[in-house]
Amino acid sequence: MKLKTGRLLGLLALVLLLPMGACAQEGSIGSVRLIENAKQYDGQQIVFEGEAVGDILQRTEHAWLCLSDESNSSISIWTPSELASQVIMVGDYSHHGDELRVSGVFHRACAEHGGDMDIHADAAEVTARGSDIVHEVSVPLMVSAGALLLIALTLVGFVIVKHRGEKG
Amino acid sequence: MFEKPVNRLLPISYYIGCVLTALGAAELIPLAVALCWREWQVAAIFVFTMSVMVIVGASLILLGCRHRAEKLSWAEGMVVASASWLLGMLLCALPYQFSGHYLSYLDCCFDVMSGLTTTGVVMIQNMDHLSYGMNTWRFILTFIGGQGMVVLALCFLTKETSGAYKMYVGEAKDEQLRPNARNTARSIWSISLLYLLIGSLMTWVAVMEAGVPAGKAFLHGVWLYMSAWSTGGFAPMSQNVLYYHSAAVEIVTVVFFVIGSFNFALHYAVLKGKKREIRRNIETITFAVTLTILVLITTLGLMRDNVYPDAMSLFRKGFYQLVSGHTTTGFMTVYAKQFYYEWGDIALFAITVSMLLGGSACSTAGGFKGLRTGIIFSTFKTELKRMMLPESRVCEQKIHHIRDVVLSDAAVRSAFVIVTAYLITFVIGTLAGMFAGFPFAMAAFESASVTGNVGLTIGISSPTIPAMLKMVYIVMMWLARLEFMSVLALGAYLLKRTGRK
Repeated sequence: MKLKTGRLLGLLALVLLLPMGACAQEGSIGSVRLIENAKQYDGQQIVFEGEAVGDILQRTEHAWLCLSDESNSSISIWTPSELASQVIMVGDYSHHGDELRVSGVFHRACAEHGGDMDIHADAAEVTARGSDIVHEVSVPLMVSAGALLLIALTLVGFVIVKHRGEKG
Repeated sequence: MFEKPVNRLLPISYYIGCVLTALGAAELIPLAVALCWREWQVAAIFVFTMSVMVIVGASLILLGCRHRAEKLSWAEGMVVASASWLLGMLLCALPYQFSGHYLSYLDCCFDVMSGLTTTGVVMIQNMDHLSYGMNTWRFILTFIGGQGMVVLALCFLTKETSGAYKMYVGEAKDEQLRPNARNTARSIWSISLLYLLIGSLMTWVAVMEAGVPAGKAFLHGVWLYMSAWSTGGFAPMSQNVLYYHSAAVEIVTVVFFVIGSFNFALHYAVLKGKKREIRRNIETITFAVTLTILVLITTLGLMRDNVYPDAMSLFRKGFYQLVSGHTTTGFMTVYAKQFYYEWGDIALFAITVSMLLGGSACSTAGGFKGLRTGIIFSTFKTELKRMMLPESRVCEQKIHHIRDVVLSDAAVRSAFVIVTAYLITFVIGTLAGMFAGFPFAMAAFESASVTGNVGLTIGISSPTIPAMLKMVYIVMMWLARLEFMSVLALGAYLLKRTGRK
């Protein structure tokens, strides 16, 4: 019994401590935490991880990257062009973008960029390459769409005939 | 010998059918985009949902076809408008439901109502991976909603003009640009399509300048323009306008959402060569005055709280969000939560007021409208004048709106009634937000945004909020866009019919 309790406590400690350990090891901060605690992180060196989405917006020697994390929001990264060039695939409807781990200085309201919230990256590494997203066409949807289209067109035909008939 | 009395539902059904069929036909545009970009699954979704809409619409037309020449009463015209919006919402949500980007059908309906009413708050998940076809549908809804879906149906699908003006008014547009409602509706769409060409081109260039590749920039340009002109607030990326990090995009969008928030009668007058109208019109004057005062208050508030490091940042952020709120657009270059955590009470107050005041009457904008705000201020001025003058003196209340107008008591009363209705809706929305557990400032901000059909969000509107709050917001958007009377007429009509049974 004692052994069981000890094991349970050990397991519980492991479950509780594992995420903390992972966080400490990874050190990355989520977008929601950054936005909600922007004053606290302003001007600090931080690590941010996310999927590159949208486009790489090239500006002379730098580029804007948009990194989206799992919280349904994203953060803009101002990065030297050579760092941005590591990104091969950006996320959109047909692609899952490269996963990046970026470290740099977080700005709550960047003076260089008209008050935008951003991270000025000084290092970036691709942690996972992006991939294609295959959207298979659903056959039942196609068949029912075709059938419904026929019914719709027939009804529209009836409407036209009825309008013309009443005019005549 | 005796004519059978007409079931009054039949002519109503005919016109609602026309509106739904027009909405169904509008799905041809996202369908074409999906086909162009080889999004086959999305194309199949649009064929399916378009067919459903056309089947429902055509069935309603066939049901009431024989009675389409019947004259509609004012109440029936309004019932057509409000019921079309409600059924339109339910049907237009179908493509969203199939897209897999929503957690529930209620969320889909929320986004459709938000789009049609040009509000702009969203429940969508993973927006950055949305297909081009589905994105196009979002912006088409905003564009149609801005000009008016009844206006669209009046333009293209029906030649009957009896009752057309009543439906047109039911959709909260009461300016008659031309002698009949159908031609007025056509003028509204002509003005919008003219600007669509110029605006899309300019926005396309600005988006390309921001670094988006030409082909994609074209779509972004058209979408952003549609959203700006309709004072909608939807953007293709989850970061909204902040995504572009571009002063050019901000300038172009500001220009078009300000123009879009002006009265169609003003556009029509200017296009007819009456350029002086811009300086003389009560709505443009009211907008200029309230905007100046509110920009000043926002700037002072942001300065007091040291929100931005320099004058340029302060101007770009403060001015953009405020004008976006005042014109009821809802484009943002800050994150929603920044309003609450960083902006401070004074700036929040100014934005909340600006969202309630809104743009012009008979435009794509929401809120109280400049015309009503102007009439109320003018009434206060006249009353003060009346107090100063001898009792025997007659004091006439005049405003300039397209022409000089002597204000009747009925016009003044109507302005006060509608503004009061907006305020009551705002209070109910704020209370609903507080009951859902949000602090007063957040609840009031979001309520003002929903009441004014604005779309700026402080972070409340998300899929995680209670379903009841989502439903309250949907009804608020619907009520505010149709300016209450049509929805109330629908309620009264339904009550009357159930009472009879």
